[in-house]
Amino acid sequence: MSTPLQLAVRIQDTINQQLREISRLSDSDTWVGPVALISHIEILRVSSLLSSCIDLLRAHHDSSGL
Amino acid sequence: MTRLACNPERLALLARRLNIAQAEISLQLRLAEIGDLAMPEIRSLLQRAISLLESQEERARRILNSSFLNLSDSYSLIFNSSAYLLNRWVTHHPGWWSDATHGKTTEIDILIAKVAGNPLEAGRLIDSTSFLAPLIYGCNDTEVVRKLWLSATDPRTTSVTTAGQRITRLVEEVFGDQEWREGIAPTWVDIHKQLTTRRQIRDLLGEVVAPWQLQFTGLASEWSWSAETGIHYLKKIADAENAAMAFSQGLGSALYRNLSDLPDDSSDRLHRIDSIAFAVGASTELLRNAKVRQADMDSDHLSTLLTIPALLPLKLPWPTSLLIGKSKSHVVNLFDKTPEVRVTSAIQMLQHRSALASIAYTAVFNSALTSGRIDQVNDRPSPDVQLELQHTVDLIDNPTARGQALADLTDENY
Repeated sequence: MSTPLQLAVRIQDTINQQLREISRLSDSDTWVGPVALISHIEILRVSSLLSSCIDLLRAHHDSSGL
Repeated sequence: MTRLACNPERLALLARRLNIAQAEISLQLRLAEIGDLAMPEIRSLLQRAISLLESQEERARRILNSSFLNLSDSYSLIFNSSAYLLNRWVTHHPGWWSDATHGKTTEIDILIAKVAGNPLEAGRLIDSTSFLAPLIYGCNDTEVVRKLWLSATDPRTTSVTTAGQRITRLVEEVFGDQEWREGIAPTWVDIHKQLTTRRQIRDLLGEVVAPWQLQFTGLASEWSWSAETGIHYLKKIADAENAAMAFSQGLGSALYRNLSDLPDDSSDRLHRIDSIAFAVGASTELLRNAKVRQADMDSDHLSTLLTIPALLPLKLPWPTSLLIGKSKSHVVNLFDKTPEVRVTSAIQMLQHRSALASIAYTAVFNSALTSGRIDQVNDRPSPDVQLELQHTVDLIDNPTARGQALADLTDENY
């Protein structure tokens, strides 16, 4: 793994696979009341942070002209 | 603190997924620190993502650990569900103790049986509960309880400290005045079965404690309790004939195991030998006083002890230079036709100590060989090692004890 684009793909995989599974498990079958909501919001924040990483990496890739 | 609404397997799976995701993002963080990818913004975003996942995992672990569990080093789903469900069953089903007396397999039977055969999981189940009674009295089938405790305290797989923590809790639970007993109102059916279970638990205690009996007296400091407390419990357990038999049969191997690994420092080594000899003296005297030797088990357990040295890898010959068994035979000859149990038990105690002295000799010899203080099996040991060997034998089987036994018996016979 050496280029921004490759790292971006890897992070996207984490969102698509692992965070999706975590989100599935962090529902009202596991948590009661507001905790399920809190848990979901936290997972969304993680996804958002990782998406921002992907955007930065892609921008870096585009600006470097690779 | 929230409460859990589902099967804990699902929450344990969530914790595991969160952990895996953190590991993956941590790897991405390291990659983002290299060369062209070294951008502070990326680093900051990934660190925040890891931090959020950590807090989620911590929440899941806190819920799981709040019942019985310890997920710090494992994500065993079978264990997690057994432990959690057992805890919940006992909490919401106050009649758990009564179920065990009605001749049917109980919920606790099923839950304990899942982990009873696995030393690691059996031990973790015991360690993770603060209410031990269901793990002793909650099963209809005492064999399940036996399997659980023997797995969790097996000297081959359990450290001295861990065994101490588990066994001291066990004996305190069995012999202590526990509050939970006051809340029960047993029927006659319950009482009858409870008496049977209680007897079976005493027998089980004998099996569990036998390999660790030296830690009840001479090696009590290894378990951070006093020899007075230890021998108090040892006496109570030895009141059950089967438990006493287990003690007797387990003494030789307990002695060998504890003497086989001696400290390098000579002073510490002698201190340990002294402590172990003290423990052997306490165990043999206690067994004599429990009047177990008059039972038909006497020949059985003596033969068990005597076979142990022959099973050892070195098969050392008993050294003729050591003064063992000579004056003892004088005492035995004086009394061997007396039918009195008290006399026969004293004679057997001397015989046991002689056999144990041979085991101790072999163990200390092997320890010296392993540590390099003796070069070859057939070499004559150095004077220091010879003294240590003689000291070991004398401590366990000595003329003073034999003379005292002779005087005591003579005094009471005339």
